[in-house]
Amino acid sequence: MTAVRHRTTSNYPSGWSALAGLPGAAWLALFVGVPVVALVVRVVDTDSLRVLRTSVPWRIGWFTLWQAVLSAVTALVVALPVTWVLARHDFRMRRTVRAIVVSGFLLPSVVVGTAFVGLLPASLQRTWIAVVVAHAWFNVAVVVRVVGARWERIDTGLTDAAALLGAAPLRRLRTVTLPLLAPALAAASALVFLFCFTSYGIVRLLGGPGRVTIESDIALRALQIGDVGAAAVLAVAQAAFLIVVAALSTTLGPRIVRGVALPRITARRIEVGAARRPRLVKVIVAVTLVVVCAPLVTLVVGSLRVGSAWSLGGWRSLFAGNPVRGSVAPSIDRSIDLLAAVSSSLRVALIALLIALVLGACTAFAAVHGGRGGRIGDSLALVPLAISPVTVGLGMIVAFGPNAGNLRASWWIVPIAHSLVALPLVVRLLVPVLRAVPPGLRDATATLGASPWRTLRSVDLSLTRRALAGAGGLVVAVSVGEFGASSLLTRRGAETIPVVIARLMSRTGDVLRTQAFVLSTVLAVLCIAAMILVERGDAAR
Amino acid sequence: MRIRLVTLAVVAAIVAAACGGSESATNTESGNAEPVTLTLLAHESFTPSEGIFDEFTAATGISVEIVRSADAGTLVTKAALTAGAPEGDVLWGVDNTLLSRALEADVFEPYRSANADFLDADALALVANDAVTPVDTGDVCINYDKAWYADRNVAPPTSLDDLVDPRYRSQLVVPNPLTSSPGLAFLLASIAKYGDDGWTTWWEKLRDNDVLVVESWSDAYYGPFSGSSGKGDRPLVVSYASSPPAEVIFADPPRDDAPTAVVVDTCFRQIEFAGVLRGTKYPEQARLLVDFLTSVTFQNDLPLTQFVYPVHRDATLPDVFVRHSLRPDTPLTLDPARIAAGRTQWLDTFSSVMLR
Repeated sequence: MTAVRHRTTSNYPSGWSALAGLPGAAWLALFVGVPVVALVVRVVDTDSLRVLRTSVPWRIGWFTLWQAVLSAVTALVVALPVTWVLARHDFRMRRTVRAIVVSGFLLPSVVVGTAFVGLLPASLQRTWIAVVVAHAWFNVAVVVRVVGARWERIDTGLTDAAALLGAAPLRRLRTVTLPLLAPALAAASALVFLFCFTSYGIVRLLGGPGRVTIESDIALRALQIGDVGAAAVLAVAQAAFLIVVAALSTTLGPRIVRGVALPRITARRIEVGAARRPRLVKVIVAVTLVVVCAPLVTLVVGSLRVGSAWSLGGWRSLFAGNPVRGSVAPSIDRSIDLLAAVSSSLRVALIALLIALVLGACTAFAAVHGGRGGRIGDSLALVPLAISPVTVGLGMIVAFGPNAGNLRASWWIVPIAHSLVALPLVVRLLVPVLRAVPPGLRDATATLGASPWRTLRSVDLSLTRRALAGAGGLVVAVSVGEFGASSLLTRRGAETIPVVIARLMSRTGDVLRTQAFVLSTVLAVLCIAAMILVERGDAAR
Repeated sequence: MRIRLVTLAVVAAIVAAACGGSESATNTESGNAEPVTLTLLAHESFTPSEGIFDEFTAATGISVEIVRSADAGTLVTKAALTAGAPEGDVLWGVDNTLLSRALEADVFEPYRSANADFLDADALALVANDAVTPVDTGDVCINYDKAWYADRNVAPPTSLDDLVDPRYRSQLVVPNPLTSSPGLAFLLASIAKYGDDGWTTWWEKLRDNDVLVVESWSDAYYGPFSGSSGKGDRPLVVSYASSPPAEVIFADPPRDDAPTAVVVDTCFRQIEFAGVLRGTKYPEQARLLVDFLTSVTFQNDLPLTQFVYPVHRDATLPDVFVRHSLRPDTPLTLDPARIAAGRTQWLDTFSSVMLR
């Protein structure tokens, strides 16, 4: 390993290469570091701390906690049958089914929220049940990915042996499979818990009065009530809690849930007796597909209906530019230019793409070739992942006010925020690809007399081109779907798609509902298109 | 080579997009040759007649573009966060429940409207230094479904006290004051009526009487409320004193009398203001727009388009408005300074009592 690293760096002077990590580090220090410090300073303000003396944050914290736990458990229960089917059985269309099942997680939270508003009966809307159901649906993909990856590697010989010794299926599950799966189950639940704990878009659309997460309450205070101090207190408290949970789950977790090392090779997939239960497999696949697809179908159907009649009005209003007035309340104008939202989102995504791709590529390069300094930048780039998007937005509001050029009032603040949310993902995607570039190629170019620049261009850049395209797709998908920071920072007249969807959904009226479905469908298509780029970039590894 | 061309094209596209982006951001890009377009920021209930600004444009050469925010609370918060680098030139719709917040954040550039001498003196007196100008007033009151009570031979409630009476159990729906401006006005009504010591007890009783709290005014009025176009089953709702005439005007098929009425002793007075946003590139033109918003022409348009009362003394009220609307003589009010001091704390208390 050391030998490889030594050879990897041979062609690029590691000192200079580490410098490539500087722009990214500076960007993070300015737009994450400064805002976080500003938030903490704001919290020290005793007037802000007043909020902790009321019962409100504790009640909201309690709801946030239990709904996240319940969502994680529900997601596990719903996802395990299909995870088992996909991990242990070979059948036609297996890859397609898996792709469909894991695609749910690619969708922006407001799209999922909108879909469930269309799907759930009125009596369940704006209740905790709606929140938990949507969370569970959203996170089935996480369980299938994380748990499925381990399940595929469990040697079927183990369960076969247990079967030969006379263990019934349930007993085999309990005594052999579950203990082997335990680390993956723990990791998946922890991930789902964290996602649901900081849920915002879904809670905004599906939670009722008082049914809000801390994340959602931070946004409400900052945006509607104008109580930035209390919002800062909650944001810092939440960040502290999340860091403790993440630390505990990485240090204590492995000690409690002991994992057995599994071979890296994929084990034989079909279990003994699998042939005898094709019907069970079919039923599970069919039910899962229905559950996964129902919200998406609802979205498309909803975009084609106004009230109880079929209509293309929603789609026409997307291109009309001339907005439709709300049908229910004539005295209220909720007309919104849908196409302006789309073009606004695309503009923001382009800028975020440029920033995140350039900084991400530099940071990844430094991480691979820059020795220790570069790797520090690499870990720094993960920091935005630990801070929720709403907190990023709030931090910018607090840090970049009138005393700091009033940047928070500028159009640029939204693409900057998006670049921060996307940067860690870009770095994570590029580092392994850069590392996989055969050092021999660089040596060869060096031997032939190429300068490091030339080597960079003809070897590293050309070999990672598809991965770069994939990272670009990821940035676009993240940016067009980003809601937390955008909802706090967006300027009037330059609202992005998710912000407009949330606004449409927060109001009563059939036409508005239809328009929200139209925009959600557009957004879902944008994200899926962008993610297809990612998959192709991934395949290039 | 091909790749380089593509890269070039992408960079060019991004730069073009960025320029477009910044242009739309500072929508008041100067250019002496071009006529000025002012951006008027407002909440979504700002719905003047189509073409109402034509007269203004003809007289001054200034066009007006309306940009609506979601609700009054968000409108004011965003204005506070962008104070000095505003999203528009003039803001319409900060009311007495939110005014203190805007003034603290120094959102407005003081201006005394040319029509100031003709405006409601009480409303004018609420603001020091002419930071903003009053533009309309209205009342947030309990509305009831007349047919619902007539069918059951029950007398509708007549006061806030009545609402906690078991006779009116499970009948009231209110918008959440955290997310709705009439909801906030109704919360303030209870504080004006019962004082710092009594209002929480009253809400506890209301909670025990099965009041329903929903997100927004439209959620309440067109949802659980039985008296409007919705299919709800609750005959009491927090709405406006001008909601009954709105029901008549928008009735389909037409009708002569309103299906709803107002409980006059529950009304809280809302006064809306407009002002020049500090940092506008067109202060001169923005002032002219404030003058127009307080002119008789514009004020006469208010009752039937936005269901509020004009503040200009010479404005006239249409018949249907006079007949079906109701103007409480002594509405509940709270001093803006007191609202400023108590608001966030009251909202937290409300949450802990009502949203358990």
